[in-house]
Amino acid sequence: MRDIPVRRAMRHSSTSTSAETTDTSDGDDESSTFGMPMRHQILRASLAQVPAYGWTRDAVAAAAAEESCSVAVAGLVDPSELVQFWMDDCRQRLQRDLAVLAETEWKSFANPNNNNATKLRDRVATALQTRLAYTIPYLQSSRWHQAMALGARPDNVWTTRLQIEQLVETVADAVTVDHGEGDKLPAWSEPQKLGLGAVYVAAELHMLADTSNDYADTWAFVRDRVQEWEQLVGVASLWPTLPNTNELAYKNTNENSNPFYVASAVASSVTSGVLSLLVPQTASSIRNGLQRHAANSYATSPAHLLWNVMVQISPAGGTGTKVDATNPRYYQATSKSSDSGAASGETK
Amino acid sequence: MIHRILSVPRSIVKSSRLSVAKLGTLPVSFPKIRTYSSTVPANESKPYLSGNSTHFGFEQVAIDQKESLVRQVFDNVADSYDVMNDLMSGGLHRYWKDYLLEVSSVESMASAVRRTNGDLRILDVAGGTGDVAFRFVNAAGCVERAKSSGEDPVSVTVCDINHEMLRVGDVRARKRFGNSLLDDSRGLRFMQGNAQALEFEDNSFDLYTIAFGLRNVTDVDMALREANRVLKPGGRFICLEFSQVPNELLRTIYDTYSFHVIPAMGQIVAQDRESYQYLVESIRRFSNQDELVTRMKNAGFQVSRYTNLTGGIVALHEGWKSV
Repeated sequence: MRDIPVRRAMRHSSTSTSAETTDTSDGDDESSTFGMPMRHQILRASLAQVPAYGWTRDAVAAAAAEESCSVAVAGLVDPSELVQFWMDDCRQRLQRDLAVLAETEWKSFANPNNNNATKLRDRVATALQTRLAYTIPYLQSSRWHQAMALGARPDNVWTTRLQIEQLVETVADAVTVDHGEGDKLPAWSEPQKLGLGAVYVAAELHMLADTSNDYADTWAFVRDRVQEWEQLVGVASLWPTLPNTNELAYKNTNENSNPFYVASAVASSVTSGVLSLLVPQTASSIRNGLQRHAANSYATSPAHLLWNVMVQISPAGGTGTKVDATNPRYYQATSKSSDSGAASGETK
Repeated sequence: MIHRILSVPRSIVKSSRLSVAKLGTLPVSFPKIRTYSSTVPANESKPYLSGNSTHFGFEQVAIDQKESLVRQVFDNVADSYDVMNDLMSGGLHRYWKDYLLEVSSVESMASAVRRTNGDLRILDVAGGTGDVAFRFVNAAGCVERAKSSGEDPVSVTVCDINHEMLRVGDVRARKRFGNSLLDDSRGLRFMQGNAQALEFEDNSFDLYTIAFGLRNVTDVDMALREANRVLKPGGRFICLEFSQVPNELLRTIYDTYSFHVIPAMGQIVAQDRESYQYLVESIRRFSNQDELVTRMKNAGFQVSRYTNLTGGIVALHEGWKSV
């Protein structure tokens, strides 16, 4: 008899990506390892009870009652696994939804002369918005902040980090492939991914305090942060032929992974997310101000201030890589994109 | 004192080969590692019984003899059982049983069923003196419930093959909780029964626990199948049992302790060396962690897994009946 124990340091076994699971399992199929069919069944049934009972054992117990099986199945899953399961589920859902968007709505960027091409920042913003929209049922039942709190618990934080990384990968895969011609943009660098992860987390925070109609504030927030992210980490440069982005002038790729830019992107995203959570009024008034006096207000946003500082202190930053963020034409481009973003959000 | 115990003449320490037994080496909990043992295909394990003899400690006895021999052991130890547990394990058995209670989440299950008018039926097999059952009763609030009228939707049934152990348990329960818990609300009941042939209907329990009992059962496979049978779909099996210590240093200390100190303790405290010699030996003869997981799978349990406690001296195995 083979007697190779598969050791796992983690009690929460549903994370297929944890480092511990890969080296000792002899490539065993994860799904057969943990009696997945039963766990999946219970986890899925439990998610339906989350709006009523929260991310708790009570939700699992209620699901057990629904499925007319013993209340003892509640011991099969830890409440934090419920969140992880849902996150994994969302990843697959996002992949499917983005594939559909790419096929049906996004205009090809393969032809550099095609002025209708859906811009990268619009694609990214739409993707994030699509993902954020999945949380709406839980937001409406005031359960989402509990999930975030569970995800931020020290014993889950590593999994959460991996899951956000996967989310960014999913977005990156979807938006950089052009379904029309099968072209693919270069892969994003780690700092770029990190930056986008921060944007997502910030948007999640923002969404918690969002009382606007159909989360319009959050969608606008996402577009703004994605726009900053695009500038700061220089994704635009990956797409030199993109129409209307030449003015961004980030042609020198060497600068783009400058830690300064990345740090500022992360800091500004998270800061504005937290800010909007703590003082929603201020955040939304900033945004309203943006709409009225686009250029001026943008210049006073924390990200822009940070950016100016970066430009001055970064050794490479000052040379010929200036963004004219106050250029109204530039902002116009982004506000136009907002419409398409909102539209796809409503399809959820 | 310790020196005297350790220098017991070899002639008295019958068959003092390496063994594993209760130990109170370190009163700290080792990191608990929940292990999923899936690399051993379920059909590769040997049946627990083959041929017409089986182990009784380190002796070989006829299969039909073992049950009465085990019964004899527990008849002998029943009165001093709880005291000896504390002495032998240095109080650690309390920690192991508390961990069982924590893992079982009886408290949250009980509050869930009380809220939703469901029922929660717990079966504690080989639970004679009630140590584990009393924990369940307390956690589920059965004592408070016993003060109102009618039968409690939460019930804990202690089932043991041994009348002496049940008697001790019954006396303890009445002393601790009063009569109404046993006679009126029936939140706790004691029943004599054999783990290999339980007198309960199919699909009747939510939780089946067996703490330090499974290794004494003659046919472990049969007991596991019975556990699966009486559990409701989705019901949970939890077994707390002495197991194998993977760490060699710890194992050496532990074996020395079990073989030299525990039988001597039995001699001094309970005037019964033989019974405690059996306890120590039976631990060594029992399936290790992975074998037991395989047996559980064969019996039909899903998500079978275990957690080592105190470095593997004790392992908590758990599995669920398919939905």
